[in-house]
Amino acid sequence: MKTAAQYEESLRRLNLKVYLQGERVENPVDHPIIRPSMNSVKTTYALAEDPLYQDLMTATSHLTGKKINRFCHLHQSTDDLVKKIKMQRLLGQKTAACFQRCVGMDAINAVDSVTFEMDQKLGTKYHERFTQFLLKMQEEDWTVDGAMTDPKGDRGLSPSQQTDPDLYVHVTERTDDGIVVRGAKAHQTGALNSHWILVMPTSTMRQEDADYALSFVAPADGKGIFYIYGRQSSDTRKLEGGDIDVGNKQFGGHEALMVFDDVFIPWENVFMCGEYEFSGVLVERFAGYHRQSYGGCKVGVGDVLIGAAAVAADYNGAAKASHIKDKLVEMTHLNETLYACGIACSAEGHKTASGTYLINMLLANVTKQNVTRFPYEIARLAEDIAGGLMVTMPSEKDLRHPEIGKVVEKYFRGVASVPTEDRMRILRLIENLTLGTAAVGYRTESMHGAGSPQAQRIMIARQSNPERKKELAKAIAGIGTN
Amino acid sequence: MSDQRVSINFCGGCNPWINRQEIAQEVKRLLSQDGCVVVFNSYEADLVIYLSGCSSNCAQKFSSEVIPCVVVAAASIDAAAVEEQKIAAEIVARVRRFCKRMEVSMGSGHGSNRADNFSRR
Ligand SMILES: Cc1cc2nc3c(=O)[nH]c(=O)nc-3n(C[C@H](O)[C@H](O)[C@H](O)COP(=O)(O)OP(=O)(O)OC[C@H]3O[C@@H](n4cnc5c(N)ncnc54)[C@H](O)[C@@H]3O)c2cc1C
Repeated sequence: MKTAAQYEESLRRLNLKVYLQGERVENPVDHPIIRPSMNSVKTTYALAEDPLYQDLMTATSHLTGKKINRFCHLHQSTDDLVKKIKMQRLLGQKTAACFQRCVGMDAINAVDSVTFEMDQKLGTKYHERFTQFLLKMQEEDWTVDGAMTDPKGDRGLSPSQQTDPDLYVHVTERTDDGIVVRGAKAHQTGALNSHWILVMPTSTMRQEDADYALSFVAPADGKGIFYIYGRQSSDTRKLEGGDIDVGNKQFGGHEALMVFDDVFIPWENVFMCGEYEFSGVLVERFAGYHRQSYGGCKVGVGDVLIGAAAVAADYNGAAKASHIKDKLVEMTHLNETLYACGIACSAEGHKTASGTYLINMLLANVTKQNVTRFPYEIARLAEDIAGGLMVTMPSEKDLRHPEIGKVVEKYFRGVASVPTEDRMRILRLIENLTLGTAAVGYRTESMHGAGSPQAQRIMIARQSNPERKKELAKAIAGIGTN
Repeated sequence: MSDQRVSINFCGGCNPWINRQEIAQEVKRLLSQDGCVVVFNSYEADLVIYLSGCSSNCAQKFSSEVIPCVVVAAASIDAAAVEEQKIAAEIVARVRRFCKRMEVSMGSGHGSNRADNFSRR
C-alpha cells in the first residue's frame, strides 16, 4: 500500500493537462484551489496506515491474499459491504468533504461482475483483462476516477441522435491494437487526484448506439486527455490566504470536465466495446453501489454539520432552548436514517456470478432517494440554529484589522466566555457546508450524484413488487378466498 | 435411480419474489420420482437446496455448513438469472447431475461425496 506521502508524490509525477479559470495549471497538487481536495484523498491513504482505522480502511485482496486499501477491494461478503459504509462515514467525519475515491471503488465492483457475465454469455475476454488491471491497481494502490456521466446534450435525444456525436464518449476507430475514443465526461469527482480513469457508459444503449456502449481504463495523464476544473461557490476565498473565511481550510472536493480528444486505448484496457445489451446492467450496478455509498459519506459529513450546529448553539447561548435541542434531535434522526439505509442495503447484499457481492438494489435506491432530501433538511436546520450571522459576518481581514478588529470582536461575540474568532470559525464551517465549496458535495451532489431523484424512483418502481403486496392485502381482506 | 437425501432449506419468507412453496413442491415431486429422499430444513443430507424468496439469500447466508448445495435466491440459481417458471426444472437438473457424479464416484471406488461443480459452504 502507498503511504500518504507516497500518494502525493505519485501525483506530482503525473503530467496532467488542467485548465482552471482560463489558465493552464502546471502544478495541480500545490494549487491553493485544488490542494484541499488532494488532502481529502490523501486521508484515504493516511488512515489506512493508522492501526486505529485499519479494520475499516484495509481489506485482504481475494486475488493475492495481500493487505490492500479497501478502495481497491472487490466486496467478498456482506460484511465487506457494511465495512465500506462505515469507512465512508469515518472519512466524511474526518474531512467534512467529498473524499472522491468512492466512485472508482464503485466502478471496479460493477465492472467486475458485468464483465464476468459478458464473458460467460459472449465468450469475450473482458473479465480477464479487467482482472489484470485490478491486480495492478491493488499493487500500486491507485486512485481511480469512475467516469460515467457524459455531457448528454439534448436529454430528449439518444446518443446517436445528437447533433454533435461527441456529446457522449464513443469509438471513432477500431484497429488490431485497440480503439480510438472521443467525447467527454462531465462532473468528474476527484479527476485531478486520480492515477487512472475507468470509463463506463452513461445510460442503457440500444443497437444504434452500440459505439457508445464503452468501458475502458486510461491513465489520467494519457495523450489526448485534458481537464477543465469546475468552479465552486466561494472558491476564490482559498486564494485570500486566511483560514477562517474558507470554513474548512484543510479539506475539500472537486469536479472537472474530462475531455477525450481522440485517445488511443489498447485492447487490453477495453472492457466493453459495442456490447450494448450489457450497458444497462453496468449502469444499474454502478449506480446501485454509488447510491449505497451516499448512505455512508453524507452521513459522516452530516455528523460534522450537526456538531457544528450544536457548537454554534453553545456559542450563541441558545443551547438550552428546547426547540434547539429538538432540532438537533431531528437532524440526528435524519442522519441516522440515511445510515440505517446504507447499512441495510449492504447487509441485504448478495453474491454475483463472479463472486463479488452486490448491494440490495431496492434498498440502495431508497438510500439515495432519502439522500436527495435529508441533507437539505439537515442544512436548513443548521442554518436555523446558526443564525443570520453565518452569511452577514465581516471577513477575517476585518477581524485582524488593528482598528475595526476591536469592533468586530465586540459586536460579534456571543456568550462572553467564547472568543469571537471561535464563533466566526464555527459559523464559517456551517456556511461552507451549506452554501460554500462543500455544499457542492453535501447538497447538490446529494441531489444529482449517482443519478437524479427520478432515476431512483424508476428503480424503486421496478422493484416494488406490487402484485405481491396486492395478494397480501386480498388475503387479509378475504378477497378471492371463499 | 438414486437414494440420495436432499434437503430443501427455506429462508423465513418475509419478502418473496418467487413462490417458494410451488417450487419446493415441484422439486420434491420430481426428485421423489427419481428415488431421492426429500426433507426440509435439515443439514442431514447429501445435498441442500437453499431456497430464498429474495436476493438477500437468507436461507444460506447464516449457515456455516460445508455441504454440496444449489442456491436459489429470488429468480436466480447460483447467482445466474433464471425465470421463475424454469427454477424447479433447473434445480432438478442440477440435483440429477450431482446424483450421477455420486454414482460414478461410488462406482469408481472413490466413495467421496465431493462434487466439484456444486457450491459448498
Ligand atoms: C457534485 C457532483 C459530483 C458528481 N460526480 C460524478 C462522478 O464522479 N462521475 C460521474 O460519472 N458522474 C458524476 N456526477 C454526475 C451525476 O451522476 C449526474 O449529475 C446525474 O446523473 C444527473 O445528470 P445531469 O447532471 O446531467 O442532470 P440532467 O440529466 O440534466 O438532469 C436534470 C433534470 O432533468 C431530468 N431529466 C434528464 N433527462 C431526462 C429525460 N430524458 N427525461 C426526463 N427527465 C430528464 C432529471 O431527472 C433531472 O430532474 C456528479 C454530479 C455532481 C453534481
